[in-house]
Amino acid sequence: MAADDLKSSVKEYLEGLPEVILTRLYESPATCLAVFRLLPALAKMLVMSMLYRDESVHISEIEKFVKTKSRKLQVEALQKLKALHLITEVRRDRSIRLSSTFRNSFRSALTTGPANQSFGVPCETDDKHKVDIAFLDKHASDKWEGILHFMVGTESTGDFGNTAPPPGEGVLSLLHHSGLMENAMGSDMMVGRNESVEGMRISSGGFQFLLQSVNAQIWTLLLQYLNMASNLQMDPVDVLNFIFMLGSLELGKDYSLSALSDTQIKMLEDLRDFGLVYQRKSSSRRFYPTRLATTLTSSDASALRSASSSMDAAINEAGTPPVTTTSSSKSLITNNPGDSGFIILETNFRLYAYTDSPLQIAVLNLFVHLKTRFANMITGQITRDSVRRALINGITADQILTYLSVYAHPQMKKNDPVIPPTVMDQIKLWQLEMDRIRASDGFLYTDFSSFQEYDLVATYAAELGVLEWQDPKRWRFFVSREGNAQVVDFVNRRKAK
Amino acid sequence: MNAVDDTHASLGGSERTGSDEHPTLLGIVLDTNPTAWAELENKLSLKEAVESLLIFINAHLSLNNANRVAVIAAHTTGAKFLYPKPPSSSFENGSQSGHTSLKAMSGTTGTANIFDRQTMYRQFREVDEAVVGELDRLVSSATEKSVRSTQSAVSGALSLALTYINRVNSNEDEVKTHARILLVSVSGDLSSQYIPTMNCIFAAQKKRIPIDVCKLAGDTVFLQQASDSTNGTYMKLDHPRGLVQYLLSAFLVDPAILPHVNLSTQRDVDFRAACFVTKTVVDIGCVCSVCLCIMSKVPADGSCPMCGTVYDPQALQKINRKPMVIVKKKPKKKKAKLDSTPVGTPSPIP
Amino acid sequence: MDDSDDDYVEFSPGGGDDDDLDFNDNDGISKRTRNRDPSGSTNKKGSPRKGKAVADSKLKGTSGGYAWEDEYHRSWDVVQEDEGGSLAGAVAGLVEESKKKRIVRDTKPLQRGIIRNLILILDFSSAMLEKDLRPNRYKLMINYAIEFVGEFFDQNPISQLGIVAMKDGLAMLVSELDGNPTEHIHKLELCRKQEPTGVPSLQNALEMARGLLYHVPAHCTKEVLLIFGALLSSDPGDIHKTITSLVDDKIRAKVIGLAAQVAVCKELSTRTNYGHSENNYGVVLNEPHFKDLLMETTTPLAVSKMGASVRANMLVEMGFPSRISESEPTLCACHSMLTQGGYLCPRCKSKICSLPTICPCCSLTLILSTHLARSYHHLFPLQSFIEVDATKRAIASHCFSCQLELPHITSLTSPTHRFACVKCNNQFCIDCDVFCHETLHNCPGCESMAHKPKQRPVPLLPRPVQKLKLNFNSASSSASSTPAPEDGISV
Repeated sequence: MAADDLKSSVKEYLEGLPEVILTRLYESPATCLAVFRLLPALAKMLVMSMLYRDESVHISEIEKFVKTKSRKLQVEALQKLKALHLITEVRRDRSIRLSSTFRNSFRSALTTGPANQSFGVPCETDDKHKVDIAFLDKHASDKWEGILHFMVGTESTGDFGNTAPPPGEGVLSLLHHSGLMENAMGSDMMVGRNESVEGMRISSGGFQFLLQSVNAQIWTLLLQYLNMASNLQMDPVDVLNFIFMLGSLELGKDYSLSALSDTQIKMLEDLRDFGLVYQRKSSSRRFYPTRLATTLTSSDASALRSASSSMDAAINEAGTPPVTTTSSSKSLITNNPGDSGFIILETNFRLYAYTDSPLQIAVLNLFVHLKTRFANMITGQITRDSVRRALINGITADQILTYLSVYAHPQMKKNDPVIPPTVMDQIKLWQLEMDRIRASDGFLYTDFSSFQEYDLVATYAAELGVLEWQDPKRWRFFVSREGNAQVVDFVNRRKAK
Repeated sequence: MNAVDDTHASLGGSERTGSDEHPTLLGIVLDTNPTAWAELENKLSLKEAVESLLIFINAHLSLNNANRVAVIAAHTTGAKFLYPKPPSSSFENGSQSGHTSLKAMSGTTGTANIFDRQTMYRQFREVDEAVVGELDRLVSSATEKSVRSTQSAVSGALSLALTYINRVNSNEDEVKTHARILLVSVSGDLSSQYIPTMNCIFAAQKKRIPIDVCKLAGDTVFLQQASDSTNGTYMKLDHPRGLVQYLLSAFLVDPAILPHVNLSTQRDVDFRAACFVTKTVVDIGCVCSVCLCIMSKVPADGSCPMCGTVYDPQALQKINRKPMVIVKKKPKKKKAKLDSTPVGTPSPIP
Repeated sequence: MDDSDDDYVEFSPGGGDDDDLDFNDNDGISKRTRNRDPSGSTNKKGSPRKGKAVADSKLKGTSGGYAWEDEYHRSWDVVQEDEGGSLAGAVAGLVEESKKKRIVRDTKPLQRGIIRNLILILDFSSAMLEKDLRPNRYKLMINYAIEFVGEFFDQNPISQLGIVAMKDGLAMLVSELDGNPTEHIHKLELCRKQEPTGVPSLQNALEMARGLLYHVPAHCTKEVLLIFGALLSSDPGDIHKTITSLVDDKIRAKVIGLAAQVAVCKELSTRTNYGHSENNYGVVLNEPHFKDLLMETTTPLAVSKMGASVRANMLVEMGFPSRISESEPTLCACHSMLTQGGYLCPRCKSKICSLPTICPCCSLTLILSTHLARSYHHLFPLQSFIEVDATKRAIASHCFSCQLELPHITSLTSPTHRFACVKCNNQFCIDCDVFCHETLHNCPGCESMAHKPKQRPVPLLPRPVQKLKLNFNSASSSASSTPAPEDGISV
């Protein structure tokens, strides 16, 4: 679900762009591929069947292809394609054709026609300071979890005990801009750096942010980055192309800066702070994408659950020496156990989490009453108070439930539904409790001369269905704003008699 | 309480829409029968077909990030995995050997462009290099071993595809993977593989794996039956040159939208059986109760030509009996028989 | 009322596999009952009694005593942690063990009765309310019966099935002998709402089954599958006579007991199977075992010596209808309903909805050629794969068919987790082994080799069947030998 939300937010952003910019975007095959993946299934099919057809396709052909009862899907698909300017409509004969820029780029993405650099340019020369995947994973998780730790306010002690420095200035301003963190003092952002670090406090949006999957978190920040980029005079086409390119790079390979534009090189610095790429020195002419970057466009949640778990997996893999080279076919099929979830939730609201990551514990602490902590697991209980606390922080019940089901232990995933229904309903009920007071505009009727008079008018209001509340003891009742005129009319008529 | 129920329902609903995008595993079986391809050379060469197939594979992979593919060649020397790379050649996985074989192939053909995948999306590159490299090795190794057999190991390739799909599906009980098989077939006669191919079809049917058949040459009745009984698509291409277009429009269907589209497939399938002895197609035949072989007429010596079972002469007589006109008697008899069959003799009442 | 409820409880935990006991027909029951004398103490270690001693040796656990005298085995004692304190290895071992069990099966090419007629007798008596099987015996039985019907027609497309229920001392017809699975499943679904009541009557049910099978031609098998939850049968007459008449009609019975072994069921299964009750009478241990026993029945029975008369070998006339598609719905001959499209009987041209069936007009058996092909794997079963011995041959690093990386072998004596086909010597993982034998019925290794032209000219029954037939004919009536001749079969 989180992935869907994310998809739609990226799509919305793209749909908001003018045609000129989109056409420029489609010049990059990598972007075409990423955009293609955002489309609904039927639209994908339509694009595919038009890809190698030179003449335009008449609507009636598509109508023949789609079943009559699914006409809605067809309209939706065509709408999406039009919104992204992927198809152009020939009004005269009701036929459509694929945008030629997109078609050429996408074709070359599938075949690699003329040399293009949208999928990154690998370095020709060997790196003297070559880094391996385990190092990249560690780098990524240190950086990214550093940001999250900062947000939660926990002491981020990395796996090796060293304290990570607070995130860079760019990150801080991004967090502030995106509303994930707010200044506790309410003071201006332009204060000194140290002060701002001290003064920043997580917002309700930030709590929600924490419960998202890592992939969604990165996208949230990147989209925010895009918004900021236009203010900073950066070309959104360059920024987007670079983001989509990162998603298509290969982990553990070094890429050259030669093909990047100035904007993109500038961007690289910021991305380094996020942990998406690794550069040994800022002057270095090469960069390594990390796992955070290479899984950007793979919205599949199983690819990346959290940076730390994938790092653990990488370390484990490195620990068993001979397998790593031949594991390419294996890892395609077997899910790495390190990537799977760690939470077990019982029907009695008790929760067991197999984790030692302070970050995960901190996140769980947002809505779970934690009880005991062991070397590799913690136990806790979901209580009314703990959930209320989360709800007051602005976290919704759905977010809690999504988090629980995304990070559910594989053993628990076998259940259907994943989360015990009792817990699911109760958490939702607790949310409903929060909305106990319902405000409605209207008019209060008081000071009746007799009970008969009160009763007559109140009954009339009740019959009309506009009576919101009544207190027969004190001869008072409340009528909604819409129904008031009728009740007043009734009273006047009575009086007239 | 109603409100809770509503939210519950809406949650379930959104999950359902979310599950639209199940990853698909596509098993491709490519018939590489050299003789058949040689005959087809004028219309479509193997190289062109592989190029089209690679585009198709890339298109499939681009539909969904988690989509996977397995490519198996059904050659006359046997069935062989092209992708994922068979373990025997995995030690050559390094870029060096991969590139030389690629260049060897592209060198002979002259158009080097399509195989220059240095700057290709890595997911595509991995698959394409493996497929081209392995196919290259297969074809070159096959020429030495003089082609004695004229039949491609289609049943073997299908078996491999099914076992592979079975394992992928059994491994991931949490993520439901849809699987389908595409068979690109060029050879016509597969009669010696009748039973194993049929076994594959039933296994696929049981596991709900559609078998799509893209027939470039020849016509095989039981491949029609294969796609029909597994809800797959059967298509005989009139213009093999347009293979890419056919593949992309007819065989690239996401399972999520399958219920919403009309697929073009051959609807009338020949289900009649062929006599095992005379090879004629019959619609009423005699079946041996022991080995189930089909005969168009009662064998002269009264024994089964396949398993040698000697039949009951009385029963043979019954079948051989010519129709006779019996006035009024016959319908009565039949009716009586019909009546007695279903109800049966009631159980003795105590 | 002749009560035939000698509810003798067999001691064997396996249920019905100790045929070493010498007992023939009727007096065996009394003899066994006599064995159950109160002097239990003499039966303990090393009982001098002949016959009992054989059974004892089976019953004794590792410590030499009876199973119930053994110390209780706690499941957590059996499982060993590895060096890292992880249970993963042990659990994987258990899983593999259970898979291995599934693949050990008889793969000899026997002549089997492919065209089957089976009556499924279900117990609807009050004993079915017991909750020893979850949720209770009755519900579980109905669930499994529905699965069974589906599987039965999947495996035996040209066969017929009927369902009879035993309730309140009567036999009730649930569904007629018919070849359409949906019909049966629908009827069984309706049974879910019923409450099991009263006592069962074996005799009534068997007589009804006999009646249903009366018109079945000789080339088809006649079988009864009885699921019996009660420990008694309340019969109007002499059940032994009924059993004799079943034997005369060549009806073969298989019994699945849900509670304990019942003497009369043992007699039924033994006598109708030419003196062999093994594999024909099983008492369930738990839910999965119940299912296993039930699903075993979907494999067609090997034709046994008595059944294999010349009369059984017959040519059957069958029609292979063509499918038609119509623009306007027309009435079908089978249900008299308006349907669009269907199959046309080649002889009388009446329209039928689904296949296989018997033409309602001219009573010609109508099937598709694919239905025949579906039964071929019973005739040409895939040979069992054997576990590879690391000391004798090279070990493959990957499974041949699914490319799975097989676990590293550290020592030559440990299990290799590799299974090889005896013909092509390719090595497979256990999952592929199970899949090949249970679903695919092909060896991917053998099939992946070059196909030589005329390697096997379309469905030819391998010679063994012919040989086997000779065996049947020449076999003497030594009833004590193994049920199916195992000698003289080679491929």
